[in-house]
Amino acid sequence: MKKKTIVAIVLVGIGMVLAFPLFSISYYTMVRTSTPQFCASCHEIEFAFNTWRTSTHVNNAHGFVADCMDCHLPAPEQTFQFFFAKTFHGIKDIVIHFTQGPEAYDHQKMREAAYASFTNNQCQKCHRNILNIPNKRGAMLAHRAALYPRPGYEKKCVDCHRDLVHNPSSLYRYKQYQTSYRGLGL
Amino acid sequence: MRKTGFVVFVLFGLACFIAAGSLGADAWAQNIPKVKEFRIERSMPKEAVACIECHKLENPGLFADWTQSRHASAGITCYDCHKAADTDADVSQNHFKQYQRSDQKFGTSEYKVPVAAVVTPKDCSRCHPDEAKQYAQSKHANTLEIIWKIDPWLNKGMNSDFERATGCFHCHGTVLRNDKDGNLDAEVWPNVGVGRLNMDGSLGSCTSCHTRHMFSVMEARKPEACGPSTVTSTPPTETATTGMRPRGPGVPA
Repeated sequence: MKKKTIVAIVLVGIGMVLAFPLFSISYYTMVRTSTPQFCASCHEIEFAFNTWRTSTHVNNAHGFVADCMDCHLPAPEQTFQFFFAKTFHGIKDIVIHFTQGPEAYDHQKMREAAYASFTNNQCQKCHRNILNIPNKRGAMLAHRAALYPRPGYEKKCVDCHRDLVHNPSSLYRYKQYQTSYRGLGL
Repeated sequence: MRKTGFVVFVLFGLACFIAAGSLGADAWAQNIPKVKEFRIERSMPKEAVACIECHKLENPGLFADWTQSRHASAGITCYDCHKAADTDADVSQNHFKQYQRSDQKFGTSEYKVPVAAVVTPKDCSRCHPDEAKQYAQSKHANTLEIIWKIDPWLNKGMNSDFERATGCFHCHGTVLRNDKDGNLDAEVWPNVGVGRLNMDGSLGSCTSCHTRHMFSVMEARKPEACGPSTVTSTPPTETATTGMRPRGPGVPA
């Protein structure tokens, strides 16, 4: 065998030995830090976690649960943006917690900041079939206007749909027991 | 000794035979209750099995009640109602220590789950959302607020703490809180007042009428279930302000 081939095989081997644990560790870390329970381990997020638990995004007839990440981070398919946003927010939260303290966390301000940061794509990760709504034509037309906007008339999902999840409640709010949902409108 | 034992056995057998003959098969069956045995034949998480196996020894009475309940029959375990999250204000910190016990097979971290001692209407609403919603809108749920609005004895400090605890909050409900050790404060717990302010923000207590741990619907429907506050006794302040006497069964006219 040529010397070059042996060197190449050895280098690839070393690369695999180094990369495998590295990828495993980062994957494991990502999985462990992606649960709502992990988010709630920060005192500032407990309110969000507790209100989310009673919301229709957790309690519905479909058994579907939208986690924190599903709304608040780019889709994991957008690997780079996802990893970047997750790491950046994690570090930022810890730094601010220790430099300014938990009192600095203004829920109302952060709520508005979250609405400002949501892109329609994030909602549409799950809400994909919204163009044909046989029982609510107004909603159907509104969705068409939002998804195919005329220039200058762009809208965000959260313009009409807000205050969905993080509302304090003394009961678990099952979606199937709520009155028929209607967006707040503009 | 052996002979005596044999004689006793024969006599007992004879007595049984005569008794069975004279009473008839039906009555006989009634008088000897079938020995009940608790078997876990439902699917349930291993954490719930741990609750059951440990509390069976720790609180046999509580366990026995539960085994007779509809909940047990349907496979609804301790954990389904007492489930909590680490972030809950009422999560029991001391119960976590139970999972470090070496004298118990189930006292290991494998079965560790956060639980709360108080089961609130919010917890019940996980499975009974309609009932919890109706209750939340009821006068019962909001009675604590109502008495503070209208009662001069409370507002003007005309009764002692003991009178309040037994005469007001026993039925109307306490404001739950933890003491400095993280246990529920003994001043306010145990309490099943209908308007109890729970640490998760919900109001009241389903166990006022659906007593734990049998949750018997039949019992809740009986007039006596309303007895403790509504029928047999009028709150002392009402007696004083209106001149009404305590009324109801057991009270002389």
